[in-house]
Amino acid sequence: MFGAFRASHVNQGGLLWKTPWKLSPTRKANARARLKKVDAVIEAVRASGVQCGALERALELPKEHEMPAKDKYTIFTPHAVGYRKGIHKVPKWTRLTHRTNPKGF
Amino acid sequence: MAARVAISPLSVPSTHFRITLRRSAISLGEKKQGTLAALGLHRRHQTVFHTHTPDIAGKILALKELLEVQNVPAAAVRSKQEQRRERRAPRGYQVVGSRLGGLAGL
Repeated sequence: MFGAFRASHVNQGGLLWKTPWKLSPTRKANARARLKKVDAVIEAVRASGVQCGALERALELPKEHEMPAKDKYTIFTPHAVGYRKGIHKVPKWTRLTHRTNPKGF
Repeated sequence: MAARVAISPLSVPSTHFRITLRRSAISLGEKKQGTLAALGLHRRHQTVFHTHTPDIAGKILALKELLEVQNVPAAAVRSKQEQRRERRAPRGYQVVGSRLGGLAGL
């Protein structure tokens, strides 16, 4: 169990790519900056005066400053205790919209 | 970016979206990559101009995580060639005359 020849993930031929269970303060700051950039895009389209269904749906999304920290950094999952997991566990999470929760969560 | 456009939105009404692709759509699916192609965006940091119409607005909002959008007046619209010319560095000198052309000015 202990010593130089102990079994570990690495020397048994496995990769050691661990995903942290929560985001670091830097990654959270980057996530907030990305959310603000998306808010700016929606605001620019709203300011253009164009009316379309996509804009109505986009304006229903909460803005970055309206979102609770729970929604910015975690996401609903049916599998975890407490129904939440870190948002960084979602593939491509920096380029997808997931600002709202399913009804009741 | 905003300084280069240098036209205040209050004086002239904006008529176009200035759309820049900041994030790639790789592995986001054929639909989003097709929407980017429909906007005329083929590489990151490429800028295109489109008029304020609902179909363009819908395309922008479908890709809102990938794009940077500004509203600009028609006078600020630049083609690809004009954007290249504006990016070009100054030559650093000025030709005042040549022996072949004659030194009439000197």
